[in-house]
Amino acid sequence: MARELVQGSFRDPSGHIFEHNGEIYRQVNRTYRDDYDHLVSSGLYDALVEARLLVEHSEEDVGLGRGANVYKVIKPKRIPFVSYPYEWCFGQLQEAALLTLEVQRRAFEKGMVLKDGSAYNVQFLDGRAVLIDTLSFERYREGEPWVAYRQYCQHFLAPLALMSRTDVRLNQLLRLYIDGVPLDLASTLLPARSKLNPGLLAHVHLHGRAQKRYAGKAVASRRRMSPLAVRGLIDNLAGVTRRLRWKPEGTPWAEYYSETNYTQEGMENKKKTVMGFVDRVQPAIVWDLGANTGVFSRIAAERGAYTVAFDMDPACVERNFRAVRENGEGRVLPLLLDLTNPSPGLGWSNAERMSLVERGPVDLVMALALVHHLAIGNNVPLPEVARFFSTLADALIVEFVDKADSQVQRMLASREDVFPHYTREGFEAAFQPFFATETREAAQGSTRTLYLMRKRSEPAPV
Amino acid sequence: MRHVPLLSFAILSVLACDAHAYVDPGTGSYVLQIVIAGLVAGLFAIKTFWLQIVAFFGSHFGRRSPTRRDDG
Repeated sequence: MARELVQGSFRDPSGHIFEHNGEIYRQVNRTYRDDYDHLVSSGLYDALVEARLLVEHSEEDVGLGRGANVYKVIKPKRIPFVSYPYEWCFGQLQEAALLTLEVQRRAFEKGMVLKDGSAYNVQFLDGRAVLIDTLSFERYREGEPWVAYRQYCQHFLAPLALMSRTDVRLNQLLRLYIDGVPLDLASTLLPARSKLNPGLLAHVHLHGRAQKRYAGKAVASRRRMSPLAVRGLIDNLAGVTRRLRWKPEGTPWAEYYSETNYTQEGMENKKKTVMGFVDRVQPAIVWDLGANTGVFSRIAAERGAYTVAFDMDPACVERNFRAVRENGEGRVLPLLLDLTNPSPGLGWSNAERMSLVERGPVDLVMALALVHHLAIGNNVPLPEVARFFSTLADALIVEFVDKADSQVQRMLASREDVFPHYTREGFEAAFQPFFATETREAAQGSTRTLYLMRKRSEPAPV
Repeated sequence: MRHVPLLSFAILSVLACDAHAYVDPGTGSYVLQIVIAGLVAGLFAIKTFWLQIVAFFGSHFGRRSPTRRDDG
């Protein structure tokens, strides 16, 4: 009976998450009983689940819990891939922000509030942002301000403002600051004219100053905040958040498919080959590395696989996410990831937020038109590329683009060719110890080759 | 513009409150929130009232009532 505490849920005294026989459960503590009961009896839980704003759960055997404090054990619907705010594009972070405010608004109507405004309480399920922390609610005490205001501004508003007004890449600050972007830092990085926006002036610039001014000071209180003021604040935050915009263009990869090496016919053939390979593997979960806007991710998704479409270009991920929302695609999750520096384990004990590798391995990795960027663009030796891929998946669809290809020629034009082993033979020799090639197909109309490989249970001798 | 922060802090310095949260809400965040919420509450009340008026006239004199919209 393996029962393991899941890191990242230890701060909240209301309960914690644990894993038992491969399933994820959440323990609800007795100290949280009244709030949990109110969540259910007020109808708020049902309303939020029906609106797809909160993850659905079932109540399980309380015996699975631990300690005298256990009140209930619930089993939330499983999230196929856990992602983090520093892996989200602008649109995803904005959707998560507006979800948080909408949940708070609806909770308030039922006499409850969200007690934290953490971006880590949101995940993407069936193509939409959803709150996953069922224990985030507490009964509203009249007169109290919104306790999660600081967190909301640090986790959502400040990074969104920075992405929109300064540089979209500043979402990576969330990787440095696990409790959201410090508001004084956001205030320094935002352009001066952002102070002309009353919302950003109040919630970021002045907020940052107020934090500094009152740092470490305890102030006795008689001041109350009316329910109308709480509703007004939430409405105001939603307006400020919704009005922030970012246009996905001008990045190096956003126009990739308009300048690709494949002819229309070649592209159709490549799609057919990939379809055939995916059909052979029949994966449940696929990671498409270097997915661009997700053309090939959709091939896997249409065959029933939950497909995570990683790309390092914020504009590609943004376009992909907008397509997911417009088409209602529940099985494609676009995410931002630089494969040469993938998400590490973060937070307390390096264990609160999982590294990319910890979230695998998966059934199938697709690496199409990617290896030359790793091997030549980033000087990773081919055997090292193969070894890394073997830690991620049981099967691999990989494309080799040789030196005769104009894309590789372009990469080598401005640098010395120090890659004598970068040949098709060298590629196959590098992958052979880790993967067995099941089938290989030359891409028509180019010098590229597509492979379907299966991971060896034991690395073969070189 | 330079006086806006000074003005705000003049107001802030007379305010304060208690916290009952496991996540530190931050004293500065609490104090600032009360001031901002005080300002936006009035606007919110007007907006809510206005929307009610629009909804009232929309349902009585509009071409399409909310129920018909649901049907259509």
